[in-house]
Amino acid sequence: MGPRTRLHILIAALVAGAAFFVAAPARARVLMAKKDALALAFPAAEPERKTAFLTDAQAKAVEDAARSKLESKIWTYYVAGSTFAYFESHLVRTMNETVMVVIGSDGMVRFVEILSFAEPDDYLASPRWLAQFKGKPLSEDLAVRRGLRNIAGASLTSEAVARAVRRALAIHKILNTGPLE
Amino acid sequence: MKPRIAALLSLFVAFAPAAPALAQDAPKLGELERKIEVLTQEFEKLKLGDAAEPSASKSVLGYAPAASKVYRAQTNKVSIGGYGEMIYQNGSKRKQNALPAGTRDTADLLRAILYVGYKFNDWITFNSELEFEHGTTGSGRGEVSIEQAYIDFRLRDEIGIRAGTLLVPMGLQNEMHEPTTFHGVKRTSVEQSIIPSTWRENGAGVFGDIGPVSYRSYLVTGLQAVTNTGVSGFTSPSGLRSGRSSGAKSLAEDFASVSRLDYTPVQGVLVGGSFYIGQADQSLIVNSAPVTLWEGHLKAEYRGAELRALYAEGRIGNADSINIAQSFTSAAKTSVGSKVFGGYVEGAYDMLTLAKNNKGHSLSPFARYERYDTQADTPSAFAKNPANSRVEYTLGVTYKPIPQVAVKADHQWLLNQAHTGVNQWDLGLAYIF
Repeated sequence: MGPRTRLHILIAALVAGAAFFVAAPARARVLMAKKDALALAFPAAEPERKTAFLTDAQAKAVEDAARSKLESKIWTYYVAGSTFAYFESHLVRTMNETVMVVIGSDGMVRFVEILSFAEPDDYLASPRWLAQFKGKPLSEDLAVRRGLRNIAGASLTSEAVARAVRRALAIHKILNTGPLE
Repeated sequence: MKPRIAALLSLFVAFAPAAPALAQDAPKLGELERKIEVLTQEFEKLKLGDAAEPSASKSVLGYAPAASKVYRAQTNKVSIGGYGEMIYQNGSKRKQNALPAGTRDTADLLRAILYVGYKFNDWITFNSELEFEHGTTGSGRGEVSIEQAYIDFRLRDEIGIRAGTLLVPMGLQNEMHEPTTFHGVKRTSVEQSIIPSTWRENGAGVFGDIGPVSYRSYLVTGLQAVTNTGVSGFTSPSGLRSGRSSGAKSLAEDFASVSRLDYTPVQGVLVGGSFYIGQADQSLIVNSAPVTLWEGHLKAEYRGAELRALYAEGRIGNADSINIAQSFTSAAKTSVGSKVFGGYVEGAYDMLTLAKNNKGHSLSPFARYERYDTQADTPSAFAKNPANSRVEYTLGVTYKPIPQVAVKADHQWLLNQAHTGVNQWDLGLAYIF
């Protein structure tokens, strides 16, 4: 081992040591629990928990409008004033992700939060990417490579989140404004 | 989890038929409603999994409340994924210069890959990629390799530590090489001959995201310039490629450092670059063999349109010493290039983004131009082989019925300055899960 190799190793050890020192106080990466997510969606009020039991016809209409399959006809959601929060778990690649979609009474997305994500962190959607959904209604354009940008290197995540948001919007619409066009 | 959901639903169904009989019995009806409410709450908990857990409110083992959640959450999970690609290559019968090409068409199970990962807790993760190439190891045709195997210590978003067998973070395809993520049946020639994808080395380093910037910086084992212990060393047609030891008993007399920065100014646009510097003599030759390689890349998507561009350039010092050690001669024009370079630009458009009621299908015609030379410069006493100065045009189409499956077809015009290029067309089938 020559002097340049020893220098390389020394530099690497110093960088690694500094990284541990700087980062140690906040070791765990914690995704959001449902209670915290609800506090974010309803900062000023205690939301009412509701459960919808979709009929076969409603489920079919939601699937058509969302262009994806519904895994369940039982949907629990939370409402306070003009704010609605829907939770959904779905498969990304081989592991699950849970999201909260917050929708206003105008039928537009207010924001989307990831509550849990079991795939490698490299594939996790960033808050910047999730911000794209703000103000979007259910439409043909609410799809990756249409009105939504892809996540570079994590297209399965972007497709999965986009489908979940479309399902939440379609369910919201059918529960609150009647049949879908 | 599914049997538990089924059991809950059967309980629910068991209660439901009793409802009419209880209609006149208000207290019992109230009790039935309460039970249904409990069942739906349990059902919701099962659907949401770990996210349904109450938020952290008190500390465990001296960590802050949020940090200690790792000890409560059920995060111990094995993750399995994979991808594969099968390709058919049909070569032209004539070279550029109209002489017989002498190539044979091939059909190949090019790759079948398994990813296995394990999430020890919220901040320590293991990931690995086990690769089977060319169907079988029989007849010396295929191989089995560990493409990557590393442990991440994710300290916070801004910084983590990664150690193990790592993919060298250069270019657009070395780290992201799943066949559903690029157009064309095969990877680009530039990212095989100039950036020797798939390029992995043993090492350690740091990684993280700071706002729109992501970075990786590793210290890794150096390349090996000359033949020894099963590694061929650098060559004239493929540059650094045969100098990779792929993490297998890699000589660690010399190390290299590689760093990469990517910037995402807006969603859908990624621009960045990387720089590699290290020695490659591995104490096998008297002189040093310094290697530098840098690249810049751009990837942009807007609605159905995609654009990719990359330029890479490398220098190999003391190439004449390597030539002597490898018995490369000027007469045979086999000198290692003291300078290599290459670049490409590719455009694609997903036609089905224009279709109404499209349920996730995509159909993307694409075109790519590549220019590269693995002997852009040679030591003064060594002649170049014009066959190493190459231009390639690729026209093709990628169809994806779902994002995880791709059917590809393309035609490649492969030209070089010796006029010995052989055109070909290819078919490919790719999957990822």
